[in-house]
Amino acid sequence: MSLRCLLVLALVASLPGTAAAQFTTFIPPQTKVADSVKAAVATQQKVQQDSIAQAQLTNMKTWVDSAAGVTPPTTADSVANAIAATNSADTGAFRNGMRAPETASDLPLLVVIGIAALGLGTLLLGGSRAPRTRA
Amino acid sequence: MRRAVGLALYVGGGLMLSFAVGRYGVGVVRADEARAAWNDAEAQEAVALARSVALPRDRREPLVDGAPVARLVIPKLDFDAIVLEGVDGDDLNAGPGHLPGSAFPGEPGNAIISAHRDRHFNHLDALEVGDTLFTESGARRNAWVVVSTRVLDKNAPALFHMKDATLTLTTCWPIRYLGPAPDRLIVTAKPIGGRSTPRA
Repeated sequence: MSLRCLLVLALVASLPGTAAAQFTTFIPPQTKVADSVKAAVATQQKVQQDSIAQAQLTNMKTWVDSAAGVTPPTTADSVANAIAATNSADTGAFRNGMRAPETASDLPLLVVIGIAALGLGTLLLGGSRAPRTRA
Repeated sequence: MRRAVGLALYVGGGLMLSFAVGRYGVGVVRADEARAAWNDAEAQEAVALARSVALPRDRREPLVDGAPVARLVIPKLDFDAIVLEGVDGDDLNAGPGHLPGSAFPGEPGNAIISAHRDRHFNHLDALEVGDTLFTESGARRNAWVVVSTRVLDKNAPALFHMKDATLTLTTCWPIRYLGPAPDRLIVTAKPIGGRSTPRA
């Protein structure tokens, strides 16, 4: 036999062993991800179905109310209007539900800070002059 | 260094005091002007406003910002001031301000008057339920009785449309407070007898 034949035989004999060893260490992925995805999709579909059912029930109630001549309450609209009015400017024209006008004044705070700064400045200036007169 | 800091504080404090005193001074001068204008133009304004009152509110001429629109008298507080149109900084510096778009005192609806807590409404917290107020606006003179006093958060909805004549006074709360006050004092009054009387 030639050397080439011997090399081919050796490869044929060793490769399956190496491959088998590799495949025995391979852990196939379990189906947890797929299961969780399936579960999530199923849950989502269930929620959608539930909300659709709830919407249908709500619509049914609205339909029954309208058929009975009952005006549905506009709670959402009134709340939105109240929030809009509250957020509106408090120095503009009068609007229903608006905040009280901005009557806060910074002048008293300015007076207090001004007097304090003036007093402190006078003290510092007087203190810095004193050593000179002594010297 | 110490002298420089002292000088900076001295100058800065002086500027702040000058600004505050100047602002108070401007307010006093404008309040005097408003009272003089109110007294001088009382007759004409009474006629004009009486005519405009006869019109629907949306068809009246809007008043100029800062124009004297009413007189507010609170005997318990020894308070007598001319109310100006508008509630912005300059108007409130000169006197109580009438919220544009709200009713005039004595008309059907909510007449809203606001003022600073450190000036015109600095004793508004002394008002109690049952106290009386007086307003003059145009040809109407009204007597009011305080029916409620409330303290609300400054962001809370506080002013609402009313069908009946109502007078609402607002200012900041607490009255004695340095810096932007967190709440508002709302005093509500209703006309005594339920209707206004023409001025003599």
